[in-house]
Amino acid sequence: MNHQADKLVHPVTPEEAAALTAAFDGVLEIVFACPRCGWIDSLRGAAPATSGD
Amino acid sequence: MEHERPLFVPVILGTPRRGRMSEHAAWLMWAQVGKRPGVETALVDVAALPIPVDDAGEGAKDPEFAELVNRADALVIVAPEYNHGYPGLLKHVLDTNLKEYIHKAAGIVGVSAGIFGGARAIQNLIPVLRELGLVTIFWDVNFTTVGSRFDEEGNLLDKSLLPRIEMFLDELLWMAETLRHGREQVPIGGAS
Repeated sequence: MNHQADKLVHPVTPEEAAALTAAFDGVLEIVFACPRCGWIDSLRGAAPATSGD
Repeated sequence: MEHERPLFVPVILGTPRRGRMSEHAAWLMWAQVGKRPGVETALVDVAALPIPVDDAGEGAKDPEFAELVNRADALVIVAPEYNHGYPGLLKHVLDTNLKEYIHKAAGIVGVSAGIFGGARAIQNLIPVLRELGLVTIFWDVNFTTVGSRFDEEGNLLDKSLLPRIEMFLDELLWMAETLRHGREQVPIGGAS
């Protein structure tokens, strides 16, 4: 599967809401597409940690 | 260009209103899309989708509609203008999917009884489609004074719209093909 997009979406559980950061006020919907048949699928993942100065 | 796998471009009729003239516009678009070599289509009537109204968003997802959108490379959305906006049921239906739309092309067909051809509905719908991950094209089709555009059987009376529809579809199918390549072959963030 080709990892084709990271889309910010609203949290749906308290755990997801607790993981929000100021930079990423949402949960990542990590979206894939099959290079053969085109089927789309996705995983929900944590936003990457931000490093601050 | 012919593909091993045809492009799939369904047409969504975006209103349930009884007596809707948009239905004629949607069937016309379906016919025009279907004429394109290497392209398959289907007509989706939001009035016929078994989507509940006591829930919203992906919680109200209809598996068959979701699968259709998952398979799609582009959408033609026929949106009449009601009170300067797009129909509420259209929004409700669109909101039931998300990943299925991402990096796919969308073209909007506006319909109105008056002279603006749904231009305000189109302008209001574009930000919604953007947030859903769809890529809107810069061509629209506007059915102005739609009551005089079709006869009682739904046959198009004003053939002057056809060149506009062809340009719209040229752009939509270009975008559909290009985005299919991107979805399937180009990883986000660059090659690892």
